[in-house]
Amino acid sequence: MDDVLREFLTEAFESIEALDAGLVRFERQPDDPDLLGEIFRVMHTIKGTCGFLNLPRLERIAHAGENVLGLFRDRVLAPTPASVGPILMAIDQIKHLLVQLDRTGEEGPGDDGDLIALLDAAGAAEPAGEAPPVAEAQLPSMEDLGGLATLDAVSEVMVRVLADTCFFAARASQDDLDLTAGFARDALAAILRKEIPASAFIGGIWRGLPGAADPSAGPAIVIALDGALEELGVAPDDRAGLIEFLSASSSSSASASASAAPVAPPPAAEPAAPASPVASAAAAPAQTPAKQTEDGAAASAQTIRVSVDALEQLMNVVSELVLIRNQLLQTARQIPDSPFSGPLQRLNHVTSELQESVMTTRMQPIGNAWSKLPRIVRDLAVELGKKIDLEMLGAETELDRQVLELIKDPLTHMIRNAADHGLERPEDRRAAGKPDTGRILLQARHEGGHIVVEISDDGRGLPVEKLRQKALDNGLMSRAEAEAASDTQLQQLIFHAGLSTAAAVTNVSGRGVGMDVVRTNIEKIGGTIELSSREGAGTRFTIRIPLTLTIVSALIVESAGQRFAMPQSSVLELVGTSPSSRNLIEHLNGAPVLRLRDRLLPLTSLQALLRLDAAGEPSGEGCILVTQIGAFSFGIIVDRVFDTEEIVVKPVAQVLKHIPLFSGNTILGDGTVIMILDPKGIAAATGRVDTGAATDQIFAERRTRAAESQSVLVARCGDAQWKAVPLSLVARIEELDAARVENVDGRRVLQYRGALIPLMTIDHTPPDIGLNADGKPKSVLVFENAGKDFALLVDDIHDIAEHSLQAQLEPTGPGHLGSMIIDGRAVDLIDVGHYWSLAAGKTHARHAAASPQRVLLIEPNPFFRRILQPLLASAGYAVTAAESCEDARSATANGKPFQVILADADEDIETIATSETGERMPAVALADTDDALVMPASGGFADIANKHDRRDILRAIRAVTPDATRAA
Amino acid sequence: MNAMTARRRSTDLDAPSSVWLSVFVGDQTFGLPVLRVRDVIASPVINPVPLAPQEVAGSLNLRGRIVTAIDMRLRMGLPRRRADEKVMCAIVELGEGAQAEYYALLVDEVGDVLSLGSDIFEKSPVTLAAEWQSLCPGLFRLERGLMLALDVDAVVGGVG
Repeated sequence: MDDVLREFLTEAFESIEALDAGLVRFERQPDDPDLLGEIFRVMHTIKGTCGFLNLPRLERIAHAGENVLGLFRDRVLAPTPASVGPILMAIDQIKHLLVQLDRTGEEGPGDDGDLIALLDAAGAAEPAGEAPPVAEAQLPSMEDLGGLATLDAVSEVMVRVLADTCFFAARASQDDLDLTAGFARDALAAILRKEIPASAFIGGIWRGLPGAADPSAGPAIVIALDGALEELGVAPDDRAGLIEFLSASSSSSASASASAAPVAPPPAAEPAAPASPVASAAAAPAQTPAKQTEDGAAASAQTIRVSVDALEQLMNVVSELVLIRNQLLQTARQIPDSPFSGPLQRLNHVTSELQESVMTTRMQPIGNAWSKLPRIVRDLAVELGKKIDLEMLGAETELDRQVLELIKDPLTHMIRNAADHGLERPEDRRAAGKPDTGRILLQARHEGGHIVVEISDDGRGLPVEKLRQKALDNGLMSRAEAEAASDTQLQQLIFHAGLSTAAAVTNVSGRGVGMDVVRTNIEKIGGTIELSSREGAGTRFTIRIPLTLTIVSALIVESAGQRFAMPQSSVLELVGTSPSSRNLIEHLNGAPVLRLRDRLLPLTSLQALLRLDAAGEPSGEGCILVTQIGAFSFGIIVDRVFDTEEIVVKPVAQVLKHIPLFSGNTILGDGTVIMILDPKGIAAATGRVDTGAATDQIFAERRTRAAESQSVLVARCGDAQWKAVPLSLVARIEELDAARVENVDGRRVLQYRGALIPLMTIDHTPPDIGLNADGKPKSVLVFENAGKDFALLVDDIHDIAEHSLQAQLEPTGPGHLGSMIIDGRAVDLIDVGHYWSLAAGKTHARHAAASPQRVLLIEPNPFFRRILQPLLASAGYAVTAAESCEDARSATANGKPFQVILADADEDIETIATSETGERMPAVALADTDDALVMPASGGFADIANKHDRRDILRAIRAVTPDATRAA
Repeated sequence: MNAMTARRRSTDLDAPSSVWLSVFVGDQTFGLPVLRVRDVIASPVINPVPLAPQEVAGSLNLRGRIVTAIDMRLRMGLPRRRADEKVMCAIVELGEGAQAEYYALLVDEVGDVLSLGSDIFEKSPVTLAAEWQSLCPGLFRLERGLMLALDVDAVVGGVG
């Protein structure tokens, strides 16, 4: 293919792409002359060049299209969907032919007769009616108006009025106003001498006043001028002549939009936000054409085309420079006072700057990946009979070219999904009380080295119940699982291949054609995708992607003496293991596993996987990289983890490409070449990729875990005695130092941080402070409560588990709240409050007697009642517990009023918050998690506290009872 | 690009009047086309690559560029090098432009650059082992002995 053709293709593709977005806007806003001009120009250029290059098919289509556009431009034809449609088709056909041309170097055979006939028909349609002829106004002469002096005064008054009344003029500086007044005087004089057209007058004033981007400014200027003429005593007839002349022609001035009125009413308002770079440029139509051309010319002179290969090469060289710089710096650090350190520092800075600059040359606004979207949405809207508004924010957000290419398709797919499945038909929307027009919002922003792209719609959301049914039908979940699954978990199912590829499901579930593919593609580039949806209200996808793929943040790990890089994006957490710690690697028929909280994590050893020779005896100490790939999470055992490093990813050599465990290699600061591990390859190599839904919900689980359970510390006391205590109550965990235990007043106390605190055992036996059977010291749990701290002796800490605090067995005695199953073990829940009151002893009693603040606790969950009551009591409150408001009413009805009410956030306390004497009792709402710390709407509450956080509860009580605290 | 490679290959073998770098592997002398040799370095630091084919000794850092090292002893099926034996690297280039890759051929010793005429070139004898035949299609009759002309693309391409 020759160079001229190649050049033509490159340019044609670019301008056609820009046109797509432009045309959709044009259909909605047919009165934008700049836009029309641009479209016309592109079509014209294609026509001209095709004739020159002898491409008859393209030429004929472009010619027919240009004809119709010419009629639009000349306002002979009104752009309606019926007439714009063929133009869009023409552009599609041109695109199609260009692709063909690009591939084969020829247009290929074919006949475009139908299309051309369609275009001709559109052009021959009813003319829109001639614009009303401009009235020949009777222009007064200069003398009629009172000469140049009057014009001068009129101009000044007019500009002042404009500055006072018009928003755009108010922003002008005094200099601007003076200049504009001068211009207005000269222009008026020239108009009166019939030297310039009236439009130049108004256009000039627009130019003079910054920000005069409002088409309505034209009339405002005329009105201001009229007022000024009147003020200066110009005869009404003369005044009317000038004003009529000006207003008649101002509507046909090049930049005014008023003249479009006969063709189509002007849009009520610009869209709230610019839709795309193209759109935002065109959203300022009042910029005069002359100025725009200047800008355009300047812009093209300041950019040059650079081939992508050249940039890649530059990037490679800079990467090498960075590595050399790192090596130099490392060497220099070992030689203090080196004469090179000064220049090296400068080299360091220059290199960093260079690296950044080169990175920016590879950056492109994400809007480039969006340019096709308005057209896609428009076509879908027409096809589906929906009304859709696509709003795009942050199109200027820049990211690496390579990443941009990779997210283009997933994004398009998701927008298509939102338009197709997410949004309802207008009638359904009306029925749901929503506006007819559905809204898709596409938003991009930078967030700490990542790009966050959000795609949200206000459509029907994901139907949870249908998903639940589908999960059952497809065998993804058992009935029990499906019933227990939370909404979030069910929604995550749309990312599941088994669910989303089945066509029947797609129709019902609404969304999800290939959402698994979308997720895979995004994860491939180290990104994540999250979903939140509310049925009936809409769906939002949040995608986080790295800015660049060339430099990634990686953990440097070591296995059998060799170092490797592990991309940090796929590592969820690091868990240290040693034979002595509670994170012990266990083996099931030789397969290593780890109990991580309440999950069993399959493990794979990097050493075994890579068949590395062990340097010495396995110490059992190491680190586990908890990794997640799609639905599968697993742990990788390594010997050591060094730290995080920004590494430059280089592709592996051809002869090593077949090893699936490596995604690349890199050079470390010390010059060592190390391999970059591919988490995907490792997951596949473990051979245990889970197909069920059980592990499919790590994210969902992480989110819901907080809501449904809390951290419980599990400790061992004596033989097979397992005790649990909510972690939030434990201030610290310490190893017992027997030398610090003393006998005071017949009680065992512990010297702890310069104070003596009671040391207690769970079964109230005298504490055995000797070592455990395995020779390790025992542990103490330290509980703190405003100077009444105490320590509880346990043999050792077994685990910290996430578990819901629902006792499965009733309490058997004081100090015991009930029993539950954690990790398959029966565990007793310790009643910390009981030990508290024991520890507080007399001090507590005295305090309580002095000022018994009365607290009413309304809590439906018996467990929380049992745990909170003693806690509050130990803090010096007299607590009355009630199961419900009805239950509480009897407590409030007889007896003294309470100083404060603590109630579950779901309770409606209005009825009991006022005592019989009319006194209002302050109330604190108790919420289940930190996330839900939002004041309940039901009212009556003065504060809100986390039910699991004793300190927070006490803080809230103090906050709402200032007087009572003082009284105490 | 393919045409370029093909042209290069033809200078390697079919037009024997060319310049060669002699290298020694085991008891044998081999010739590398000088046009393909980018560098010669002594005692490089080689970082092993797990799971790599056995003749891949690892990768090394050549001025910020990652180079894969191929042990010619193992590639040619000769006995493994002892730890105390000297090793030299001849860096050769494969591919063009952005796709170019460097490989380090680990040899025992690097000899001279020889400008050789076509008169002393001939095809490798049919009795040569098939594996060697495919890597060394021809040889030069030097005064000191025979020098097998290595086909660099075959040497690297056949790894694994």
